[in-house]
Amino acid sequence: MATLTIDDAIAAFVACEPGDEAARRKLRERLWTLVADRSLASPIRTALADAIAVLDDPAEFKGAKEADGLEKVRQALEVAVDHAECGDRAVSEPEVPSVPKEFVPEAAVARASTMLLAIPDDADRSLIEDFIAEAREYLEGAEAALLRLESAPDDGEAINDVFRAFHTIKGTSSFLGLSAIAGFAHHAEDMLDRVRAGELAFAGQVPELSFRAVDLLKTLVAAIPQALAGHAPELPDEYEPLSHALSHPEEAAAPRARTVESEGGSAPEPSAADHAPDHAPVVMRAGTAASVPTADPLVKVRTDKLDRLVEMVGELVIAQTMLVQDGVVRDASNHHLAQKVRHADKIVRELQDLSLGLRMVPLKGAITKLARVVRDLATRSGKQITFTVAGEDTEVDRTLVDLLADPLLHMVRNAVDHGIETPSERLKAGKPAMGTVRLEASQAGDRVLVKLIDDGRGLQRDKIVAKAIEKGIITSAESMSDTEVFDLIFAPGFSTAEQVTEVSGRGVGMDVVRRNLMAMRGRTVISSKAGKGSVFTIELPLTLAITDGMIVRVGAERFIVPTAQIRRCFRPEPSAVFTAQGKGEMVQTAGEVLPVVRLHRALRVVGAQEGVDQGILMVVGDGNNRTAFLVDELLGQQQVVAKPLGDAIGRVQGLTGGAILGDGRVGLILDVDELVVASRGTSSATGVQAA
Amino acid sequence: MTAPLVESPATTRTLGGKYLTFVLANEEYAFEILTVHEIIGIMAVTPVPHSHPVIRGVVNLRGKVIPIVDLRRRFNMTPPPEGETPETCIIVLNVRNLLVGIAVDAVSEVRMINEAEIEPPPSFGSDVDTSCLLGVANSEGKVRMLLDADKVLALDVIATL
Repeated sequence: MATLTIDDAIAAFVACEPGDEAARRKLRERLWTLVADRSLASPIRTALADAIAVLDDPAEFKGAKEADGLEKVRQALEVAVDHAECGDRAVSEPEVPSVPKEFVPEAAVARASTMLLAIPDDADRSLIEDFIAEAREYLEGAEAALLRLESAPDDGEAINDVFRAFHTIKGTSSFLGLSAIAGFAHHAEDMLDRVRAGELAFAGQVPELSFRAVDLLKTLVAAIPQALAGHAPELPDEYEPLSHALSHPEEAAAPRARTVESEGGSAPEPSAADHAPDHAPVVMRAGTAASVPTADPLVKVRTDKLDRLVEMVGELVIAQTMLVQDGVVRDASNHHLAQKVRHADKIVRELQDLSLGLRMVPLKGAITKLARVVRDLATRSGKQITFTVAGEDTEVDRTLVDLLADPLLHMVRNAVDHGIETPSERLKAGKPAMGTVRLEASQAGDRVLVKLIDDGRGLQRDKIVAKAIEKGIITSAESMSDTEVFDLIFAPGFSTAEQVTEVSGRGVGMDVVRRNLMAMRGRTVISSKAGKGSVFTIELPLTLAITDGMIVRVGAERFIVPTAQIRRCFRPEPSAVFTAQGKGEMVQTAGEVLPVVRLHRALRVVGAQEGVDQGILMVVGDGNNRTAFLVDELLGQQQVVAKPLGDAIGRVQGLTGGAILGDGRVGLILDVDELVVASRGTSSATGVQAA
Repeated sequence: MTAPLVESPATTRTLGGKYLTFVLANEEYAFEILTVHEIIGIMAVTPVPHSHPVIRGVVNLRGKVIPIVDLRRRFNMTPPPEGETPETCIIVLNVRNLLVGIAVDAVSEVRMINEAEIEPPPSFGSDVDTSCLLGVANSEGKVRMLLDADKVLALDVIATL
C-alpha cells in the first residue's frame, strides 16, 4: 500500500482527459489507497479525500462542467502536494485515537481516517464477531419495524425499535473501534431521535432514508469479516451522501413534512388519502399475533456447538440401539438389566427429540426479508401490492431456513414481476388496483408447506410453451398437461439472464432452485388459473437431520431408502414381469405397468439377485415417474441421521449421503428421484449412467 | 476433492521435521506428522458406487462419515497379493480441515527427518508420477518417499490423468 505516492496520483490525474471515465476511476482508486495510508499526515489525506469527494459528485462532471470538476480535483491535489512538501510525511502526527463514548463529531468521523472500513489492530476479534451477529439481528428488527411504520406511521413503539437498533449499533461499534460504522449509525440515530421527539414526521423522504440507512449498515456489517481478514474494504459510495442526507432530511423532504413539523410535537399524521401519491404501495400485515415481539429469555449458542450436540446425540442413539440389540441384553433371563436398559432407552429417545427441537427455528427469518423485497419491487415497477403472511411461526430445521431463502425470493419475485398486473391492467380486468401476494406456511405431518398465492394474471401457458420451444427445451406441447407446462419454468436453461435476480444479486436460475429443493427432499408444485392468479407450493421435510429409512439389501451391500418415498413393496409373480425389446423390464401391478430398475445395476453391486421375481420390488416416485426398484431383501426400518459423505468425495450421483447403521457401519442413502430420472435415460448432468 | 487446490509453496517451506512412515508394497513412504489426525485399524468399508476409483469407500469414524482413499490405486499399483493383513491400517489425515482416511499396508514409526537428508524428487520420466512427492529422504541406507498430503488427495487432479 505504502508503495504508492502522491506522485502516482498526479500521474493518474494527468492521464484524465475530459470524457475519459476509466482514467477517472483509476485516479479515484489511487486516491483511495493513499487516503488509507496511515503513514501520510492527516492534512494530506484530508485533501485527497476532498479530491475524491469531487470525483464522486456526478454534478461536477456533467457535460461542459467537466473541466471545472477536473480543476477542483487539481486544486485538491495541489493542497495535498503542498502539505507533502512541507515535509510532514508524519510519523510524528499522532493518530487520532478513537475515543469510545465521547463521540467524534461528524466531520472528523466521515473524513480520511474512516474512508476504509478499518479495524483497529488491537480489536477483540471475538467481540467483533459477536457484534456482527447482534447487529444483523437489530437491523432485521429495524427493517420489520420500518415496514410496520409504513402502514402505521405513528406507531411509537416501532420508531423506538428502529431508534434502538441504530443506537445500539452506534454504541457497540464505537466501543469496538469500528468508527466508520459508528459514524454512520450516529447520523441514522440522530434522524430517528428527531422523529421520536416529534420534531420530524415519519413521512416524505424519512422512510426511504431509514430503509437506505438499514441497507447501508447491513452492507457495512457484512464487510466486517473482510476487514478482519486484513483487507479493509472501501466504504460504499453511498456512505457520504447518505450520511449527509440523514443529518439533513428536511432538505430532501417534501414541503408538507415541514408544515407538519411546524405544528409542533404531537402533530397529527396526514390522512392516508392526502398522503397517497408518495406513500409506498405495500402494506405489511402480519397474519398472526401482535406486531410487538415478545421476548422470551434467550441464550445465544454458537451453531457449530449446537450441531455438534445434535450429532453426538445421534451417536448416542446409535450406541443405544446397538446396546439394546446386543445378545446379552436381549436374553430375557436378566430381568433387571433389561429394565435398566429400557429406562436408559427412554431417556435417550427423549434427549433425541429435545436435541432435534433445538435446531428448529421459526420460518420468520426467511420471510421478514421478503416483505422488503415485495415493497422494493413493487415501488420500482409501479405496482400496488399488499403482502400478507400467515404461519411465519412454523418451525423448521435451521439449515432449511437458510436454504429456503433463495427459492422464496424467486417465487416472490416471480409473483410480483410476472404475476401481479399494473393497477390500470387490474382495473381493466375488473380487479381491485391493489394486488395481493400471500405467503402461507404450515406444517402437515413431518412436512412443511410454504405457499405463495397471488391474485395476478396467472401463468400463461402459451407464453411458457413459446419460450420453451424457442429455447429448445421441448419441440411441441401438444400432449402436455398444464402442470407439465408450468413445470417447464424449472427446466434448465428456461430462466435466463433476464430473470437473473437483481434482488438476490446472485443470479440463480429456477432450475437451480428446484435442484436445491430436491436435494433437501423437497418438492415444488405450481397451480394457476388464467386471470385469477397462481399458487406456488414448496413442500419440505421438517428436518434434514433425521430420516425415516427403509434398509434394503442389494447383494452384500445395504442401502437406505427414505421411507417417505416408498409407495409400497411387493414380491412380483413371474407372470407379471414383461420386457420390451428384450431389455426394458416392466412389471404389472395393481392395474398399472411400471418400469423396473435393478438397483444392483444402477449401483454397480455384484452378487445380487438376478431374477426379478426372486427379489422385492419397491414402488417409488409420483405420477408419471413411478418406478419399481428391484432389491434383494427388506431389512427393516430405522431412523437415521443423514450425513454428507464429506467434501473429499463430493456429490455422488444417485446418493444423498450416508448414515451410521445399527452395527456401526456406514449405509448409503439413495437419491430416489435421481435414480428414477437416470433410469429414464433423460440423463442430464445430474443423471446416473445406466450400468 | 471439490475444494480448488492451490499450489503449495514448496520452495518456501522447510521440509525437515517429524514424519509418520508407513509401508506400501514393500516401499517406505511418509506423511508429515502435522497432517496426521490419527491411525485406526482397518474396518468395514462401505463402497460408494459411482465415486472416484481411488475411493475405496466410506467408514464411520466415531459418528463422522469419512472417505477412504486406496493409496495403491492412487499410485496405479496392483492390490496386495496377500489381501488385508492384521497390519493393514488407515491413516486419517486432516487436510484443510477435511478428514480423509488412507489405507496403507502397515504403519512403521514416527521419525525425525532432517532437512539435510532430504533431496528433491528424482524424475522417472512419464512412467512414474512424482507430483505427489515433497522429496526423498535418504538416511541410514533407506530411502523414504515424503508425500505431499494435499496432492495425494487432489482427486480432481487424478481425474484428469
